[in-house]
Amino acid sequence: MPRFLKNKQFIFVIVIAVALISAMAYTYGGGRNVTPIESAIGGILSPVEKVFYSVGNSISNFFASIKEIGTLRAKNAELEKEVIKLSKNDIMLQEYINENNRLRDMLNFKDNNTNITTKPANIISKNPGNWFNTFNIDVGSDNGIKPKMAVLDEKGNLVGIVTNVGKDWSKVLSIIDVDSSVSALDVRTRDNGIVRGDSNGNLNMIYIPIDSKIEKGDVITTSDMSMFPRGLIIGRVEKVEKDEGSLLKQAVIKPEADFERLEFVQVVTNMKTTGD
Amino acid sequence: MRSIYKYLLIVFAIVLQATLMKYIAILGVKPDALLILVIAFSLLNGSGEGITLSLFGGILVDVLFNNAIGFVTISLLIVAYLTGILSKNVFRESTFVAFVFVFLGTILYNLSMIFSMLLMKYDLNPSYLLNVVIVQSIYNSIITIFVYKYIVRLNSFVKSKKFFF
Repeated sequence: MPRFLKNKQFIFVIVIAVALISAMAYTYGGGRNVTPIESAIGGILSPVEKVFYSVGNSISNFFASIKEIGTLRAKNAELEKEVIKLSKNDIMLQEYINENNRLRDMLNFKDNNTNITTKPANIISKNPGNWFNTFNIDVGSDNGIKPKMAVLDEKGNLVGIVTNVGKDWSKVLSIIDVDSSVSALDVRTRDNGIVRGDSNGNLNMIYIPIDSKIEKGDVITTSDMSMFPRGLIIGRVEKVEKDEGSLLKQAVIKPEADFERLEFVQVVTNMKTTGD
Repeated sequence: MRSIYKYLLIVFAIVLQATLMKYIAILGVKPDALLILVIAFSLLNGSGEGITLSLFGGILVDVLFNNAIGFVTISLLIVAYLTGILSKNVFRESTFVAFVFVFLGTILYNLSMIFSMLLMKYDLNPSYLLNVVIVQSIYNSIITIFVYKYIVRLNSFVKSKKFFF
C-alpha cells in the first residue's frame, strides 16, 4: 500500500475533488431552477449585495458627473441639434410606416412582429472572478422569471440571457461572456451569423458568408432563428476580417449596451421558448 | 467560537468582491480577496483549516455567481491544501512568505481554472489568459503586503482563549 494512501486528509481532499467535478459536470450549462438551499443562500445575501452595489454606483456616478460638468453646455447644444434632425426623420418614418401598412394590407402579408413585454430589474452583483461575465438580478421565479429569457438594458439593447433562477434572484449570462452565442443578422445586408463573446468585452460574429458586403458601422440585431425575439440590437460592426484560406468571414462587433455601467435591466417575459 | 469572525470576514470579502471590486480593477483585472484570505489562513493554521475555509468560501461563490458549481471551489481547494502542507516548513507570520505564497498561489489558482475551462470546451483567448494570470498575481501579492499583518492579528485574536469582557 503506497504511503500517501495512509494520509486521511489527502484521501478526503481527493474525494471532495471528485465530488466537485461531478457537481460541475451536472450543473454546467445552466438553464435550471436552483435548489431551495441555493435559493435561500442567495436570498439572504442579495439584499446586502444590493446595498453595496447601489452605493458603489452612486459614488461612481457622483465622480462621473463632476467630470462631465465642463462639457455639459456644448453637449446640450449638440443634442438639441440632434433632436431637431430626428423629429424631421420621425415624420418621414411615420409616412413610411403608413405606406408599409397599406401595402401589407394589399398583399395580405401576415404581421409577425409581436411586441415584447418586459419586467424591470436591478442588478445586485457582478461575477467576482475575472473569467466570466455574469451578473445577478433581483427578480426570480416569484416574479415569473424563467430560465432562457432574454435580458435587455434600459434602452432595449440585448445584454444577456437568464441562466439560473432562484426564488427572488437569478443569474444572467452576458452576451460578452465566452460561453454565450447568439444567432445574429446584419440589418443592412441581411447576412446571418453567430455572435460570440471574446472575453475582451467585445463580440465576434462568425460564420458570415464570404460574399457578404458587411461593413464597418453596420447594425447587428438578433435574427428570427434563435430563441431571442428578433430585432433586438446587439451592436455595431467595428472591423471585418477574412482568414486566408477560410471560406467564411468574421467581424468584430462593439456591443451597444454599456456593460461597465449597467444598473437597471429589463427581462423579456414573453419569449417564444422558455423553461425546459 | 470566535472563528465565526473568520467566516463573517470571508462572506464580507465575497460581497465586496462582487459589488465594489470592479472599481479598483487594473487593466480590467480584479484582485481576489477571497483567495488572499484563504491562502493567508491556511498558511497560518495548516491544511485542515485551508480545506474548510476553501470549501465554505468556494461553494458560496459558486452557488451565488457561477453556472458550474465547483468551478471556484476546486481551484481554491487545491491551492489551500498545498499551501497548508508547505506551511509546516516556513516562518508563518512573515509578510514576505505570505507574499510569495499568494503570488504562486494565484498563478496555480488561475491555471487550474483555465484547466477546468478547457475541460468545459470554452473558447479561450491566450493573450487575455496571460494578462489575467500575470496582472492578478502581482496585484494580489501587493495587496497581501499591506493586509497580512492585520490577518495575522485577527488570527491570533481568534485563536486566543482569553475573554476580555
